[in-house]
Amino acid sequence: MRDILTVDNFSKSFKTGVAVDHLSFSIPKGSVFCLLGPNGAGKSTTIAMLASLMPRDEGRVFFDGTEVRGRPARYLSSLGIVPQEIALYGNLSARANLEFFASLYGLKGKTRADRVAEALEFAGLSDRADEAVDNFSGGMKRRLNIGCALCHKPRLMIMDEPTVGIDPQSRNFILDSIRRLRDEGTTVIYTSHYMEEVEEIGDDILIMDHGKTLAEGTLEELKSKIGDLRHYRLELDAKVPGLDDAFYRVSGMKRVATSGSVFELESLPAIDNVDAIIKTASGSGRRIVAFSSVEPGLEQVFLTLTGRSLRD
Amino acid sequence: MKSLPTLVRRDARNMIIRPTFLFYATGFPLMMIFLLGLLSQGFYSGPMSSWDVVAVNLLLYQALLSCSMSTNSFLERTLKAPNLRVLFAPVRPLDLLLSKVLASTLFCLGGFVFVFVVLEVLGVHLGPLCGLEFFGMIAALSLASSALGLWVVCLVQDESGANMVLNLGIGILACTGGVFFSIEHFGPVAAAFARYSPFTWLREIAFKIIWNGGDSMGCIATMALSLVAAVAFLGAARASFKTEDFV
Amino acid sequence: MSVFTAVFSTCLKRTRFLKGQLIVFLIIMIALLEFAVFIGMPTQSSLHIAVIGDVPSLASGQTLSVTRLDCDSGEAAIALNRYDLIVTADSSGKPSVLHARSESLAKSFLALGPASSSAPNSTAGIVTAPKRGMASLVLGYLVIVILELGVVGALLLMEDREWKLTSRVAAAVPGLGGYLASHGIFTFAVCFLPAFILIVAQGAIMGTGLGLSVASWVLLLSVTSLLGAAFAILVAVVAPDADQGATIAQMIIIFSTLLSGSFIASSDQGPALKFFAAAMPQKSLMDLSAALEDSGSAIRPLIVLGAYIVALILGAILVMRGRLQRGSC
Repeated sequence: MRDILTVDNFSKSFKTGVAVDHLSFSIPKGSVFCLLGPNGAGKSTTIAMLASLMPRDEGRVFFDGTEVRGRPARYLSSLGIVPQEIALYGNLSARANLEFFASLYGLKGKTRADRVAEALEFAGLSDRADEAVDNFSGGMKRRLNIGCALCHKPRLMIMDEPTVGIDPQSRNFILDSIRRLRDEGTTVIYTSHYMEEVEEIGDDILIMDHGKTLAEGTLEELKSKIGDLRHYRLELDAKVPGLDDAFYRVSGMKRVATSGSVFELESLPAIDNVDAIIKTASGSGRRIVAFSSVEPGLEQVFLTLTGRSLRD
Repeated sequence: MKSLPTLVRRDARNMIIRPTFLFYATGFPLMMIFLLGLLSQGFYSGPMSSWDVVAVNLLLYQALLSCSMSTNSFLERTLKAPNLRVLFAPVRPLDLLLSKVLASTLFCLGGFVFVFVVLEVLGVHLGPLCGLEFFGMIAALSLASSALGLWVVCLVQDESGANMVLNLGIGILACTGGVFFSIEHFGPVAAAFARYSPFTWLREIAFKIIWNGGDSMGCIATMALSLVAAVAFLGAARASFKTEDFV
Repeated sequence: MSVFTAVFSTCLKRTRFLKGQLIVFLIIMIALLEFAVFIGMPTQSSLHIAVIGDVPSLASGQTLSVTRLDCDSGEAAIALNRYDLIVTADSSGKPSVLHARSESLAKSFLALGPASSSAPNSTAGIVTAPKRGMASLVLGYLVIVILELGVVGALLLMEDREWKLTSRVAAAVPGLGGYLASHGIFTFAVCFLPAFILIVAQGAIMGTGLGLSVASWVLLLSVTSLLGAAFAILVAVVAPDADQGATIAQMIIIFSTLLSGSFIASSDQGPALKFFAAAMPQKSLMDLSAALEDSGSAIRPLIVLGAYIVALILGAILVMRGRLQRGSC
């Protein structure tokens, strides 16, 4: 399957520092491609460059095999961008917002009316179509925010953290919508700092930090990068400075990360050291609140690659 | 260019549905004219009433305050994000900026039409043919001012900061130009300030049009210069506008 | 007390976000102060006449400014306030009025007639603008800026309400009295301090007394600042958001100040205008300053202003209490 988008060596610097540092990736058609990283990793800057809103210091982008230079209308018409900020006219109705943004892509008449109806249905707002957006909840606004990027049936959707600050019901609705888009053949670029969402919908994942690629691949490929280590999570009832050194002395221990009174431990699978871990924790004089074996996920991948938690 | 009518319609509607904007364009100038006319009632009488003088002064002032409309229509807090979202579509940045200037000018002109009609009905003298020549001058000034407002807001990247700068500058020019009270007789320094204030020149042309039987050269020159200024300010706004600063 | 000091110290820290507006108003205040001082000086001509042709009885003097013109500059020059009268000589050499700012002025001027040859530069009997004392002139120009500064100071309370911070404070403390008081006193300081420092500096640097002693200026500016702060706090608790609150407050201040005649003195007030002017608190401020200048009785204007201030503060408290009870701070 040919890639719909290829990014080659994107770089961008600001006065405050390097935001994107020689980033390259390719996105297969009809997939959900996730950009995962903490705040300040360079995700939004990458999106802005892809949308031709920000000039690149370096790098090229190819859409469907053709290099994109400047702001070609054909390229922009093929993109649907959902910004992180809710960008809607609050005192207009949902329908009026959709009609306006659809008009910018040249849609008019019955075609526009049909597409608006489809977008309302997609966003689950058909029964609130003529209400002012100011009266919507946060989740409804986010759904409409997505709907406004869909009317012109883009081939590539770019969604910049579309689930920030909304209720779980709306969040699940949005994730289901993304799966529906993929099933209909639309390619989706999805940026987030929530690894649970990325684990749920991502076909290909690129983990980035400080503007650089840390790792790239499917979820299974990324998990395999951290090897077969066993992962444990131990929580005490209080912080104990210096206890991580004690854990390193436990046989088979490879990595210890501390966050307050919580310890994330990675240990060799061949060595049975659970008793030793518990004994070391008890020896600190503090009570063990919780101890569990953790299925490795993107959090652990990030931790392994950077030595710190995604949420730090 | 194809999107320009859509953008202008949207921007104009965004202004029309806001009561504050509507009041600013219609009720506010009428109230100021009425109030200042009342305060200076005893100062003028005979063929020329205080309202005749105050109306011209304040309409010129209001025309140059059209810049506030373009700054608000572009970067007002609730409009900024959806306005900039337009750039995700295949729309030229110049069209986005031009739509703000055109919409603001059309909106302000609508307000001026209303004010002119009310003033004519109340018997305020605005020149022959219901003040058509004077209205032409106001329209051109409004266009130039809208473009100026857009340029300043692109430079400052903040609506309230731009409005502060513009209102202060125009206010100072209005005070030195005799819009509220004349400073010509307060010594040579004040007279020099008055002489070089654009408001003094504009008032002179306007009053000659209305009371001296016309000043076609002055009116045409004002309109031509205003059009040139509008194009120049729009070009400057395009040069100053970098999408990455607003994203 | 802890609420008061916590909120007040936070307001002081947030002042840096208001510095743009404060600087603008400071510049306007300095310009208006200098302008008021300048026009208060008794050096201005009271009548400006343009003469076409030769009218020997007219010559420039202390109160009369005569400009010779080659041709009639028309009504436009009158509208521009360049001249009060445009005259020419009739066949007998007497002045004949071509254009005049007002009919009464033309009649008054012609009534001077030949008497002007013995006192050619006398314009006695021609009424122009009423004269105010220096302090009243200064206050008349500064009052609008001081009241506007109140709006700037109260912006912090408007922002608190808009960002639901007031609700958080209400959830943390038993009542909002200390909270409102701290915002009120902060706003008062924003109104009072710049004006007082400028007045004192003007007096110290230029040696002008500005019409009143320092103690009298403290009283005058304190009352003005209290009025400004009380009004701004009321608007802040009523307005739905900061933008609307600031816009509404500024419009009310501009209209009421103009109507009171404190900014632009009205020479011929009809009964309706006199009624409205008398109702404005700014008029009472001008009466207070005039009373202090003339060593007259300041009791009545102080009572009126006190009543306004108390009414505005009570209004703010009652509105806030109602909002607290409804849970919509």
